[in-house]
Amino acid sequence: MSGAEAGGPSPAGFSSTVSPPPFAAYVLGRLGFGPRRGSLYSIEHFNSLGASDADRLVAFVDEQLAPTRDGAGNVTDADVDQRLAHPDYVTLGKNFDQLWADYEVNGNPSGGPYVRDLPIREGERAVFVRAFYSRWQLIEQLADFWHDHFSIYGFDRYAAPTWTHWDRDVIRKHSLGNFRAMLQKTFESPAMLYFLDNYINRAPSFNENYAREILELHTLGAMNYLGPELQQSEVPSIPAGEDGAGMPVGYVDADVYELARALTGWSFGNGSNGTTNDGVQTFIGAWHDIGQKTVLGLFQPANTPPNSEIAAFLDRIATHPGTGRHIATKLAQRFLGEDPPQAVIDHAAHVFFVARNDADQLKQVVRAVLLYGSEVGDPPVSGCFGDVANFGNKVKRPFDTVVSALRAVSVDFTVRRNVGNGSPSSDAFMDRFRRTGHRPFDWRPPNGFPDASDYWMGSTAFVQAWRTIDWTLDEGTGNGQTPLAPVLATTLAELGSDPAQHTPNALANFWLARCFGWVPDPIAGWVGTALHAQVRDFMCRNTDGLNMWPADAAIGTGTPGNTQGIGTNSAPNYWYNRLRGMVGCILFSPQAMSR
Amino acid sequence: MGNLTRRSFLKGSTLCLTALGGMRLGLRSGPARAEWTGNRFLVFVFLRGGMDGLNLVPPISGPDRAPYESKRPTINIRTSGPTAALPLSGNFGLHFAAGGLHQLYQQGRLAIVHGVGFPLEFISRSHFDAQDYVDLGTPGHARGSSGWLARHLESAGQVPVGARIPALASGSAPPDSLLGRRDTMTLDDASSFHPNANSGTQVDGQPLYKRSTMMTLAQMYAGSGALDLAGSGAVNTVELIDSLNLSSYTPSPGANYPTSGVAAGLANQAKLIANIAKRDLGLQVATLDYGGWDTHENQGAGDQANLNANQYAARVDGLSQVLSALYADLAGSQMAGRMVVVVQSEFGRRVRENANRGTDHGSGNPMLVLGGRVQGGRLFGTFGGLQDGQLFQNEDVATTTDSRRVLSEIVADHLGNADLASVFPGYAYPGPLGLMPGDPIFANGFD
Repeated sequence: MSGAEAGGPSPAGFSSTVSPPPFAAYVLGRLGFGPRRGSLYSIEHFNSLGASDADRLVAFVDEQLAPTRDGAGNVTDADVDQRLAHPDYVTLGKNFDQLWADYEVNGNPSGGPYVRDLPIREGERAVFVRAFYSRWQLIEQLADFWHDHFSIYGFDRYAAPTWTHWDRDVIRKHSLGNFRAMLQKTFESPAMLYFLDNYINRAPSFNENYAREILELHTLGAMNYLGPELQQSEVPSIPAGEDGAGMPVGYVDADVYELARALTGWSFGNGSNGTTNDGVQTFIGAWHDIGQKTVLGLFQPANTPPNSEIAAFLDRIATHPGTGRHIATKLAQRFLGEDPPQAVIDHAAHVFFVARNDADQLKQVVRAVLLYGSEVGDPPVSGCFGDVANFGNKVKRPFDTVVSALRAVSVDFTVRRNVGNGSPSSDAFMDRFRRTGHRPFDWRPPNGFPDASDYWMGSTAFVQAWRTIDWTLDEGTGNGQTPLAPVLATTLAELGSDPAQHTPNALANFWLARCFGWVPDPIAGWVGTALHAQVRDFMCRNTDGLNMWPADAAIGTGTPGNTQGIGTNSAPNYWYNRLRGMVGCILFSPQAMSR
Repeated sequence: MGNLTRRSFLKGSTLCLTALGGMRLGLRSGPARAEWTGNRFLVFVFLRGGMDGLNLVPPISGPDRAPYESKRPTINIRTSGPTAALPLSGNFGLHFAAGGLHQLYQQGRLAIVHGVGFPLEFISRSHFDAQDYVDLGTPGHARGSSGWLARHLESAGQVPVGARIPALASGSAPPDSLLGRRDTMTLDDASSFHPNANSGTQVDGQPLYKRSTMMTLAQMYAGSGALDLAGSGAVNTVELIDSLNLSSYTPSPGANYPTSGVAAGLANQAKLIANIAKRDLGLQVATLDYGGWDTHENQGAGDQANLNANQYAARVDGLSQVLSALYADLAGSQMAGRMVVVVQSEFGRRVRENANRGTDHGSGNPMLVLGGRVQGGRLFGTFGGLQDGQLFQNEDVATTTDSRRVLSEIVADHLGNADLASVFPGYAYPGPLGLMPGDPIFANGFD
């Protein structure tokens, strides 16, 4: 199943022209944002972990599921931590109370600077730094997954000043933890309570927004919604012997309304309605509906203490097997493909249910999604994560496209706020990236960025992702500047500095191997593939689109009159520009856009 | 160029480039007129989030007025003063911020169908299910592999020979109504729309290696998979923007697209539709998405005329301005008769306002149909009433017309596609409401 040999088109895939990669490259492109040479998320490291692909997969997944953490439980990574220690990052070390005081209470003082949104403005950039550099790429993928799952518009009124907390303490801290605990943290967050209007949900004419999205998006999902016509009493029960036996099989509108009533009065301190402006979840008794309620078959009598009432309902919802099925399905669609094998979903949903009270429930679930079918004793499952034939059945989203491309060329770029014009490149990068439609946390509906490949296959997403990559390859390449992407330095250091080595054929072959981290043929490399010919022809072709430099003629020692080397950039050949353009073409290819 | 399909035209341009050497990508000269002369198109506007149609088209007199006011004590649209509803026919009015739409109604170009939605057994108060039902055209089925507009385009004869841009998703991503249609042009803005960001050295007024990059991309995306087609579509889009000079466009006089406010982006996207529609590129369908209608709180007090303090009114104002500008833009080129604009949301909202002066998810809702051939100035459908006992589940405006009936009439009688069974599988079309004049051939050229 290693697929090390290049062969025909990937049968499951979106492209008819891509070559199946070796197992390691497939795994690294799926589990995170692609390999980065010289890091511990690289093909070399993966291949050092065992004797067979299956062994290496198990070892690597287990390694990724056990990241190093600091005393507070936050994942640590030397490279990321050092970059995010840049003095222009000022919110990442603050706890919730500090964030609230600095950015909510004092975020927009009269006559003072507007700093209310500093946390989200750092957050939308820090996520690039983490994705570029963290060796814990699975943690980054899962953070992305859970941000989409509990999606909040990042620039929303209370999300913006508390974003650091939301990202660190709610999403990341629980991505391998317990789902019920994570749901609780989202419920306690002022960002969520505001975004979905629960902070003003009061009896008697309750606001159902949050209750509906808890059921529809956060837990059971629309896949377990039985519509508005059925009454609760008409919903069949889960049969004996199955997970959750006795509970109703799904939810109806009445469950939404009953949950909305249970949620009446749950607000947060914002200085109005007699509350303290501290952002802490608070309960306003006068707003609460004290009547009896039933959610998913669980009855709570009138006058149940509101704390235990909502806790009982959230327990019920978070542990309903439909929630496990929903989460397992979404994880499988993210990691395995748009139409993942039912056996994997069923297995992971069962793990979710069995482990519902475990502190590492989600770690067990993710492990099940990734390894079921690949471990000793598992039945073979076609289309499981360990099946390299999956390659190409997902098209990268713009964030993945850009991050994986820049990892492949070893970009050196601490994206950050442009404080005092200290990093205009960061602003320019974000301005270009936002046109892809995938600017981090810039999604207003509560359902998160779509995961489905189809959504991202419009020309805007493609062209603007390519343009962002192209811009990055060109940035800092002027005289006396340091390039963000060390294309020239890498060529000279790794291919060689002798101009005789710099032929279009050799440059194309070198950079294809460098960008993808593998070669179809151990001797010829990528030579002989259609992609190599296309990339090489780019390197040969003059700006007029017509005149071709000989494919085997060394640049700088070739045709009389063209004695310049690849690092020079004057008419008519503009070699340095052309070299970067060639690398860009590799990163724009269907091979690079496929996962 | 006349008999070439769009794809072969584009392939041709790339081949010419190689064969003839040095020819510009795309067309050297201005846009060649396609031979095809069929000229009808549909603009499908999706108001995502659940637009509160009861406040867009409220009762202003008659038996439903009192229950309307009592169920919506704060947010009801007034009948007098600066925020008075603009009277339509019978007992209904239009939201005060919809002045442009009101004018079109009075000119007989805007029709309104009240009480539209899904069959009762498929009503969903989930945004995302309901949006899928609308996009896919399959109420009750939220998963499917093709959108209803895509299926319309698949129907025999619908994409004319010579069509170079049959479908346009004006925005950053294509909606699911076009799911499965790989030759959709998705475009948010024609400027800076190519992969070569370097604005330094130029040749022939283009970034240094833009032409060469586009040639390589065309070669790399020559495969037959969906990704390959999407990539070549992106290449084609870049080529077309250049060859047609799409980034340069002057609307007709009187087409006043808003340049600021909540609909500035929508205005740019609508302008792009007019821009492309006027060039005879075989445009059949275009889509616009306009979100922000999920008004669970502080929707806007009925007496609040200040748009900065009335989020719902600001959106209505934006929608109205953009649609009237789009209509004026086409009409200024004697092309209003080619266009039908349909406005739909995934559902309406609850009749009773909630404690936060907002509204929660409901069902029955109006649809708007606008165009030069539309038999407008009338209300269609049946309004189920707001009195006790008349509401669906005691909460919503009753659904009395299947949204597919409205769309079927436009597909059949405007776009001339009789294959409704493919567009809306399983739907038994009961016949037209009378929105369109009927015979599409007879009515040709009603500009």
